[in-house]
Amino acid sequence: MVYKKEDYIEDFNEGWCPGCGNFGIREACLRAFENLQLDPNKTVVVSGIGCSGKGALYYKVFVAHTLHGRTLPVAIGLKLANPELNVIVHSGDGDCYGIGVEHFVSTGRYNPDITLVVFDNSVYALTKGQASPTLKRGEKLKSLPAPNIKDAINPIGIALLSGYNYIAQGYAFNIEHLSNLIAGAIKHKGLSLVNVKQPCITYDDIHTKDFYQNALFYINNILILTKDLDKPIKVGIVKREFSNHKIGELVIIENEEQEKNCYVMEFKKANEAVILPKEKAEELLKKECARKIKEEDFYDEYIAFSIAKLMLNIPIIGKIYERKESKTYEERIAYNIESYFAYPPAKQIICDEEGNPTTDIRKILDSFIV
Amino acid sequence: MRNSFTFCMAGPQGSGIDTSMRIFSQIVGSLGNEIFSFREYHSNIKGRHSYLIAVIDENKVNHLRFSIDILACLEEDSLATHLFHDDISYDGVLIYNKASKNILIKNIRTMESCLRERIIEKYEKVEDLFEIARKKRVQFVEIDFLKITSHIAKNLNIPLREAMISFNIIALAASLKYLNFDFDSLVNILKQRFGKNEKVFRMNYLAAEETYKYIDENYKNLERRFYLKKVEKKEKRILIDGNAAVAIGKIIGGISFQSYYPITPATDESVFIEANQNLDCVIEKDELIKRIEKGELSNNILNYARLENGYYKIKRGIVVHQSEDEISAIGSAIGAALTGARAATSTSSPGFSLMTEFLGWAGKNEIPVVITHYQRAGPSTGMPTKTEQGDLLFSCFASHGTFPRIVLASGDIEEAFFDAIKIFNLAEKYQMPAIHLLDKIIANSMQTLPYFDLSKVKIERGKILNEEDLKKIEKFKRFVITNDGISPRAFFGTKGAIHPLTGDENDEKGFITEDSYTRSTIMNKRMKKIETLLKEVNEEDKLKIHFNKNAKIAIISFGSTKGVIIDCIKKMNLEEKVKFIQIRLLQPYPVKDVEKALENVEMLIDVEMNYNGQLNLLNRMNCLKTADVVIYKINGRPIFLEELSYYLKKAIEKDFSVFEKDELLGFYKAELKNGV
Ligand SMILES: Cc1ncc(C[n+]2csc(CCOP(=O)(O)OP(=O)(O)O)c2C)c(N)n1
Ligand SMILES: [Mg+2]
Repeated sequence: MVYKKEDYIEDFNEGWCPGCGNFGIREACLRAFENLQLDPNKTVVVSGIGCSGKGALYYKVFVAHTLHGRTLPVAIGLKLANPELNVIVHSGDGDCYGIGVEHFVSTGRYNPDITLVVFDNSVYALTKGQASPTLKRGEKLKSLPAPNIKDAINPIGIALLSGYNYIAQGYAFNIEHLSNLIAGAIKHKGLSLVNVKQPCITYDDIHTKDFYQNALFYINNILILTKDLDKPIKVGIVKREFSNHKIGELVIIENEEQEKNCYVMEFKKANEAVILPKEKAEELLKKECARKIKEEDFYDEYIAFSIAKLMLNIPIIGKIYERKESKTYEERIAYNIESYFAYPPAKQIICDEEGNPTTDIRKILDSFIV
Repeated sequence: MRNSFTFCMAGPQGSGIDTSMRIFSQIVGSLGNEIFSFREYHSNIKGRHSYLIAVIDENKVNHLRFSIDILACLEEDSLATHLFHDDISYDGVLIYNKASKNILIKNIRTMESCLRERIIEKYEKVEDLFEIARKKRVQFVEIDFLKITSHIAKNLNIPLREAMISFNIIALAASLKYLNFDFDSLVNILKQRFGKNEKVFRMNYLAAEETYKYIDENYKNLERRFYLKKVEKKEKRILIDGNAAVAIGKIIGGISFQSYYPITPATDESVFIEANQNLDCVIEKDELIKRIEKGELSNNILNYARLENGYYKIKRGIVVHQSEDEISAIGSAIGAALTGARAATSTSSPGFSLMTEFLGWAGKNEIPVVITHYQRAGPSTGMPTKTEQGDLLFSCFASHGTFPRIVLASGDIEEAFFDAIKIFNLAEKYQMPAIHLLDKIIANSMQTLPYFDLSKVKIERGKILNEEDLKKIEKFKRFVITNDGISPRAFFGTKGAIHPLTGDENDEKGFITEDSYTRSTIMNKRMKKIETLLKEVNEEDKLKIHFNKNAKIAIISFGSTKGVIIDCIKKMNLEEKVKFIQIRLLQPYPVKDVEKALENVEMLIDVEMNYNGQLNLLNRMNCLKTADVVIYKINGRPIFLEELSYYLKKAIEKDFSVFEKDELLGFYKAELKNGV
């Protein structure tokens, strides 16, 4: 049987705002499911609480819409008990990086073969637009009474440090691109994270569709410095419109006005990822101070970290990191339990038809005989 | 000379008294005696005073006693502590380390300062406390531990410090020698235990030999007040602790996923399961082949199977997941339960607090997840290594909203074993989270018991739909309305069973709804299961009535107080006059059965281990009946036989004058204590 996209869709209305970025993310997931021909009977979407989480019931696969922040624990239990299942997690930025951050970090250490898709809209949308952990300091969204005084978390950096071994960032309305990232993540054996930048059209008047249209930066436009520069280059991404500059535009910082109105980054060191306006990029390439990023670079942790650093300010999209050889939690369990994959917890026959237990415990109990 | 006595070994935490006690219990048990022993320790790795106490008798023992007949102390802290608390019996025996005598109380740094200050008020040196024992005509057996260890150090050419590790064996050997246990048998046992490590064996052998010699030389005509009797026992017996019994119960009950976050006194259970995670299971040949042909199992399984007389012997593995916290522990157990695995998590009070939000999710989504809850003394971190039954009401009502759950309390180790299986059956049949309520006493006591009758073990999995069943259904509705409230389950991963689960209210198919009509019908369906459960469950799983069913005086209690209550009634010869109603099922509360048991009762005495008499409150709420008196204990130690018999006597005689006099055990007329 060949599955079509429609085969993964349930008749359910989740009540999202018209035009919400969530629609794009879901469409991308559906295409990935179709593309990979996932068997709906062997697929589970686990979601948390938030606008992001509620939408999971739209998938015609097994769905567990769990608690706020607690997706990963349930996903781990499902996967360990039945490693045959495709387990895909949908979590919000508040859900995953706020209330559930201990699971986000710890699951990296376990490395189950699970795909985590985070709907990152910088707000707690369902509770009406409070600052989420990915909102930057100083930003005042229209839903906030005062500018945010906390710093943003760096989910990509944390994922790298925690042991995630497929890490990517996508954009909700670049559906085809995002769908490929998600398909790559599902195919990847091990724990993968796809963080998806997404405008919240109702509460966020800074990270709007327009903002992303200008600021989005594809990973293959990144340069890697090949030698240390004599003088650091300061680059800014416009956060407030000024002079002739539009929000999201890249500029070389030369004066204070620019500095004030931009997110600013400084580049200097060899082997670091850099992002530059077009002319400056060409200049560096010509001088052989830099080279274009290559496929192999995605296996380099150091480069991945330098990209992660940039991502605090710039919505870079693409695959950032993949490590193929790391053993999954399930494989590590199989070190201790040889029959694990052939006879996983979900499939064990624990009693006969009359209810007599099949497990022989005499050897264990005999060791207590006096 | 008596062969029924209490024995206690005390010493610093981490000094190996645990090992010594195991050996001691093994010996006593193998001679056909019955033993009930308990471990008291501190929330500390090394140094603090800890002890093990055991009651030994020809007949089954279910209780602990306050007074110790033979006390063996490794060092000054334990010696001073026990003497000061006056818990050595009249005509008892004190075995102690000679070096402890001259130590000044103020220099005992391991002792808790509040206790030290209380002792210093009256005594300066450890030896000064001996007058307490002398008044009770206690026999002193002084052992020069240092002389013995110096000998070992010289003989093995090791530093004295290292030789001092054998203090626990010296105390063990001294006790056994006192009890006239023969040396060669002891050596055999030491060989069994330590034989694998030649150096350790040598050291322990020397410790035993030198101690036996020391007593022979220094106590030529030793008067023996106690001895170990050889008792003929025909049946096969085991000596087992509660943590292990529960773990083994779960294993035979078919658990295949256990999650936990370390916490005293629950951890040992999970560690035990992990240590035994690869098991043999025996499946009929045709059954297995059928499943492989149907595609339910992969052909690979035959690589782990051996055919023997028409049965396959297969290796099955239990996944034990140590999670990052208790929220994750219960979350992963829920996930595993959804796939059809029998899944449980094991914890103690603070950990259970963390689990409550998920408990509600499991209740609402009708998931059979098992939570093994060993209560310890709260509130908050409380006394982590001490016991209490303070979480009864919390277990019954934890988490917001209303949903059905099971709370089943075991009264002793044997019950705990069978309940560990039963709780899965109940959880799966009635599709609800199930809390197996235990406590530190059950976790950490050891008892000789008849070998568990495994033929009594039955597994019931409730209504489950497989792929073929689902083919016959047009659209699977996970929460279909039924007369008994139970909607057949189908596992995540079963073809044709696709359905969503959500924490939001749902319709029959599982989809989110706030429709008023649907909400009411689905809520009613869920709650209906309570009625069905109470109708179907065996009476003895709801409550057990011990002794004379028609007695006019009733004791009501739950959990680990069972043993001391039973032994106390027997000791006081009250079998005719009193009945003991042991409530086992606490949620849903078996109102009708309890009401029936309480009919014609003229005096109701509640015994439990928490401040507010929670069982009394629960019973008052459900059956509109209040206990006449409540006997309770809150100092973190088990209720001892002497205490209970004292208060029981007063209660039965309606002598309420003792009310509130005792600082260790409380007692009140229920109506006197308002608003708890
Ligand atoms: C324990 C708990 N605390 C608070 C809430 C209230 N709550 C519901 S959704 C939400 C925020 C969700 O934000 P995010 O995860 O970013 O998802 P989004 O709605 O933005 O997709 C909160 C705080 C809750 N449901 N549970
Ligand atoms: Mg959000």
